[in-house]
Amino acid sequence: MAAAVEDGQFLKQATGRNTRGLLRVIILCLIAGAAVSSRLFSVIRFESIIHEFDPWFNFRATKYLVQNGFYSFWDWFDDRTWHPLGRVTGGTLYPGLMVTSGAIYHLLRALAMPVDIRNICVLLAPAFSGLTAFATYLLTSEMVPSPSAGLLAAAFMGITPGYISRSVAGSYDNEAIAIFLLVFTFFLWIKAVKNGSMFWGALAALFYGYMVSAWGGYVFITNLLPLHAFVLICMGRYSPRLYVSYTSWYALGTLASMQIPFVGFLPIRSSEHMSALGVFGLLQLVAFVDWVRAQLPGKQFQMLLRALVLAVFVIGVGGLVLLTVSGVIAPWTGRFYSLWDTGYAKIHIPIIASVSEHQPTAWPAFFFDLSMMIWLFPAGVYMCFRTLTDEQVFIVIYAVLASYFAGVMVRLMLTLTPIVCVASAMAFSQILDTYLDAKTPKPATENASADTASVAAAAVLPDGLRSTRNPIVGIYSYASKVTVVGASAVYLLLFVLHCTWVTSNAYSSPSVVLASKLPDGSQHIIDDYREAYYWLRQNTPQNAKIMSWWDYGYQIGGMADRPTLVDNNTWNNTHIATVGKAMSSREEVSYPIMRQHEVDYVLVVFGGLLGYSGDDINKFLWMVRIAEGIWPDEVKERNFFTPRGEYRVDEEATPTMKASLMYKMSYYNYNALFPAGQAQDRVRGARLPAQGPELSTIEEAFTSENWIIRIYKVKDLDNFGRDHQSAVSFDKGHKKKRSTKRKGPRVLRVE
Amino acid sequence: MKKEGNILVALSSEHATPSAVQAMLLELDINTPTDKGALVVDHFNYDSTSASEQHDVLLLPFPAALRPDVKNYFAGEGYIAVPRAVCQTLGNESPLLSPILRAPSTAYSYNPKDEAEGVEDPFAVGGQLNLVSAMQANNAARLTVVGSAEMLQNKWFAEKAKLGDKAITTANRDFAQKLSAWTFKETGVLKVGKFLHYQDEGASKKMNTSVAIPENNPTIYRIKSDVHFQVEISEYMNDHLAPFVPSPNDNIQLEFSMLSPFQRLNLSPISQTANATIFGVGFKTPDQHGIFNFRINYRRPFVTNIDEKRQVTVRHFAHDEWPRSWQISGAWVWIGGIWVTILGWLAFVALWLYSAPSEKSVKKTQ
Amino acid sequence: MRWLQLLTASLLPFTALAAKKSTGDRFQDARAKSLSVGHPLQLDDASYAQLTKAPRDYGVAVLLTALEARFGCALCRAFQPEWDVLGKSWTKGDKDAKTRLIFATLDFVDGKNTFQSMMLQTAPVLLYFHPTLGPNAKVDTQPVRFDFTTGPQSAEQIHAWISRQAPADAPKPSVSRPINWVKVITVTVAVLGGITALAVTSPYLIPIVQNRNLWAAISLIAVLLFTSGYMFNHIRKTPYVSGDGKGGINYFASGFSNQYGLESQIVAAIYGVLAFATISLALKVPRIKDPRAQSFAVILWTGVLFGMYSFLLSVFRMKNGGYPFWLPPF
Repeated sequence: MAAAVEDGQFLKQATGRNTRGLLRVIILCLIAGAAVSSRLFSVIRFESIIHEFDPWFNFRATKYLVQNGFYSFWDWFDDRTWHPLGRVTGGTLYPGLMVTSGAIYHLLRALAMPVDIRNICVLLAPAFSGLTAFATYLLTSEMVPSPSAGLLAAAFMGITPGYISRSVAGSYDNEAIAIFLLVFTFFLWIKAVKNGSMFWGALAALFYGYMVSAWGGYVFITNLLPLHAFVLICMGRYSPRLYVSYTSWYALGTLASMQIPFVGFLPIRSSEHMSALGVFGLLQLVAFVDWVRAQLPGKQFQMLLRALVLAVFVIGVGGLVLLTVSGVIAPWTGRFYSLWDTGYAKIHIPIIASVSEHQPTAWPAFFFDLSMMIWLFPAGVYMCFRTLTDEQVFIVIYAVLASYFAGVMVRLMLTLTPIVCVASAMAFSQILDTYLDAKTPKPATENASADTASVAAAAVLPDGLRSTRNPIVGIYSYASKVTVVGASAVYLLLFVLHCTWVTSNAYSSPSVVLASKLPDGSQHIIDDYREAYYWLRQNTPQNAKIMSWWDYGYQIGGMADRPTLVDNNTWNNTHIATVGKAMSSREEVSYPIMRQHEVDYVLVVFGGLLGYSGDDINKFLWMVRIAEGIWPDEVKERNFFTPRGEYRVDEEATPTMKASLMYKMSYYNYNALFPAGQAQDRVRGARLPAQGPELSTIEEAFTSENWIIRIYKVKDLDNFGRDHQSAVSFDKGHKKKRSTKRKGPRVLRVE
Repeated sequence: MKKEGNILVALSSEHATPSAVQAMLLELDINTPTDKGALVVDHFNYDSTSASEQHDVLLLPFPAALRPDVKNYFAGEGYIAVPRAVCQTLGNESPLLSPILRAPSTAYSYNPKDEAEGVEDPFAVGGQLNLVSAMQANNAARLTVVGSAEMLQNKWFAEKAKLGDKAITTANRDFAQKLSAWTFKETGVLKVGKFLHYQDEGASKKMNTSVAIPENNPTIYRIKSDVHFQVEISEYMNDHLAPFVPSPNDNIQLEFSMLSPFQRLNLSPISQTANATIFGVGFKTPDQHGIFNFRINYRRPFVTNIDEKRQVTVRHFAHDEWPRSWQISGAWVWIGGIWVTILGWLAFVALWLYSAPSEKSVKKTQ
Repeated sequence: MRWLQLLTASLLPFTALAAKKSTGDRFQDARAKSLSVGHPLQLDDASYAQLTKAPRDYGVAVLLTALEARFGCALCRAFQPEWDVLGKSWTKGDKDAKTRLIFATLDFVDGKNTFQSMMLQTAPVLLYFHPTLGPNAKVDTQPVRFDFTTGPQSAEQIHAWISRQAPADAPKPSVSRPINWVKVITVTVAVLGGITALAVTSPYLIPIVQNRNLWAAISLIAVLLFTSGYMFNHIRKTPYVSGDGKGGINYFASGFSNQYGLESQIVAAIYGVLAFATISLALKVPRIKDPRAQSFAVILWTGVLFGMYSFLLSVFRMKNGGYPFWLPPF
């Protein structure tokens, strides 16, 4: 990449615009190629398969869309999830992703290239990452005059692990297209603000609408653009350009976003969207005042007007607060609120706190995902203060906000990544531009060669940064140039190595298929998930209801094609808590719940044999917590801890723990694998009790090769009306005790 | 019995009941006295011909219906002789058990071998004693326990007997026939035929009672739509299927349920075919989307259980099923507002364009 | 919990007479007393036994606590005002005494015997006694126990717990907190004072607010803080630093998703130095007029950049065992 930029610089003087333009296109194509190919590790190493959890739902929805057409997708009532409630899927998802791949599918078919919809879904994210690189180029080019910054930013964006983490081949998730839309919308917005053009504003609104249809993270745009406008107003930089671009974006964008059924009337009813509305109103006021001031010069009158604006603003905010309190405007949703009050989710919404993506980010994760850019980023932000044009203000705001969000939630690293790429590319290209300049200044004279724009800006703005007060001279010695350029090349190389290594090692596992290294270094594929899902598919009736913890709902729906009780779309907390209660209670309590919900099979994930730590026993406390949120008297987290406050599964586990359905299902018959008394749980490193748990209301139906997935069948009511415990003990040969020996008064039959 | 086999167990006081049989019965919550020779004695309803001293041959009328809403399959004329019976008591918790023939209130269980103790602490007394009892498992397998094997013997089929001073002929043949017919599923077996439900598209369409249509039900309904339901039920009578008629105080009920029933409706007979009654009902689906079941759960003593369900999906309104905006009178204000705004803007633009040059000239002069 | 029966049995002889006489009035007495003192009743061993004696047609909620400083029960003292608020607002809100619930407090100093008989090791503990007579009676005479395992609770949380224990049909007076006038006045005065101060000092403040360097510094500090995991420390409440067991100090926590407070500050400092070196190279060095000074600056900053980056990589390798890349010095 560095070499390419060098070429671009050398050719600048020699040839005309066309060559440079062509070169730029070629470089961008190469970047896109690199971006796509670095995301193909998983396809090469495993196979063309959908990854993880959410993508399985998106894949299933896409298949439905392709098979049944758009309108029936729009009205889709999914009766195979959330049994027996069902889910109004068409109205509760962001359809952008599915519609995009559906459109691509039909387009390719129209071009006589029949491609399997699965391959489109698998490769959609890499394809869009190429587009994202292009959009980043455009955005960065708007920020600084140097074209190399744009190309560098595109290259950074193409291979940075922070973005790859959500866009490898097979990671068919909303983020796959949403990041492209995010960056592109920002580009259009910057373009609109710069030109004061209604056309660019409308385009921004259009892509904003697309973004709304694709990802819930659109709220980030909804708040960032008004904030930008607001800061510009506060800085006294109101201009008709801002007015035109903001109003056209807001009016059209809001209308566009309201077309999505899932969003509906939220843009005018919920707190998250109120800032956009408030700034819209403020802008009208400011525009009015501006107009009046132009008409009537009069110092006193201006003061009055200014006071009026302030008063109206305060009253407006007060009114909003009042409306929120009275319930007309919905308060912030839990997910959004937990971004500000970081302790909120842990207390009030365990279901949000339970997701690993919602944990705060430690510094190694930042470095892991962004590598060298993490320290170029502040430098780039600082450089924005040099001239501080309207669009550079945007970068500063974006940078500060996004780094806060990324610090609070791991998954929001994704929104931070584009701005990091842009800012660090600005910093890096500044260095390269300075030190790759072939001209050497004469020591005596002050003819600054490069960056006339910044000189002019420094002259215009007296309150510039301290570091840019003196005029630019240039670099004198070739030795310094070579040193700096050489070091930069090393950093860039290291960056590429880092990105490739991270991508290949951390972000290319489908998590449906696990890989482990055998002692001889060869790769061993652990395919228990699919083994179990296909078992379900082939051995159970079409309508057999599967109960499992919600993590696996989408995969069961996608791979096994069986109805589930709960899935990763966690819209109904009570239903999830019901499953949690069934899992964490005694069999006698769970059985009526399972009967009521018509459960046929129960699926648990158990990693004890293999040492797979993401299993259900480790997630068990969340089930307990969520169930406790609804039934605080029946499920108590306290009872799952030993008196010394430990969470144990061995001999000293609490009676509640040992009696819980989840514990029993996980360890049922596990003893049989080991010599007597030697049973060992390799995840928790615990030796299990010699006597394994007994099950009576359910029976083992299937256990996968490495015991990762265990499926149990729920028994029907006993044929002879007994409870299951006694039926099991009878079948084992224990006779019932004679009831005549019973103490107390004889029970007479009433009928 | 797990494989739907039927058993008729006959006990006799002369032989000790094998412990395996006892344990089996106990598992089903039927208690029998442990000691060999225990038998039922009644000092009032005995047959004075054959057991004038021992009082251990009971003469009883045919049993009445168990409850007012239960059909009686063992009704008959005359008296049944029950000689030297082993009694059973039934557990109270299992709804699957039902007594067929109960001892009269004056009877008690008594072991002639150890007299003193037996009378003081009888195994059971009166109506708690069952001489013949039945158990019907959830899969409709049947088990009948007959307390006295002798009552099924030829000897007692039409024997002369004397109840008090009255001379009668026992009707054991009739009773034994009914008992075995019931036990081996020749009577009291219900069969569900077609299970139909369909959307009611309008008042003009009559309820479909034709036999020829196969069961071809829709799988999805919309909320708040009219649905009709009908089911054919027939009863097996010894050798043929006959239309099933529930007892007068009883109703077959349809549940339309998701987790709990949203509708629970009595089915009314609509018509009869040669061998089935068609029950039907119409209702409106609730305002709640989800996966529902049409379910008939009919469990009565002595008839086989009906537990049939069909799963259907009830979906929400599709985007084009809502009333259009102009059909809602409350929306006229808003529609009017929209059009006024549009027209006003057009008028303003027209005015602006028309007056633009003069405006410019005014500004210039200023 | 056999202690209750034992207790009742042992106390029965000498309370029997008194109890006979005042059984009907025990509730009214206690209620009147509690109303007059304005907070939950203070009990001792005898009155505790008397109040919670088995045949009773009212419920009792007793907080067993240890308020004195020498017991060092911070939780008890933290919860006591909340408990008083709850007891007061419940008893007051319950005008017709329909809930038939008494709030009481038993301090360890007054009730050593009770504590011993229950073998209580910890405080506070909240007990709820169901009525044993009357329409809402429960057969189970043992009290329901609430352990403060999850830390101090607010009056509302305990209110919810008691409401769950209390009969479903009884009214549940809600918690009403007295308005803290001092706080209201302080806040008002502070806000007004702040506005006045702003208005007076605005000629001096505005240049500061409009200073670009200041804003640049604020933004950079924010960015550096957040990217070095400050929010992680804040949310997870990580320790600032920890010992290594041999008297030394561990600056870096082991494990990829784990860190110490000091660690994140060190990392922020590294980032800051790196960013500053970059800025210097990009913006300051080209502006130096003296060629020799410029060469020196280039060498200096390049060296600093290289060294720091190398150090950063080595620190990262410490956190992430399998990381294969490094730069020479470290």
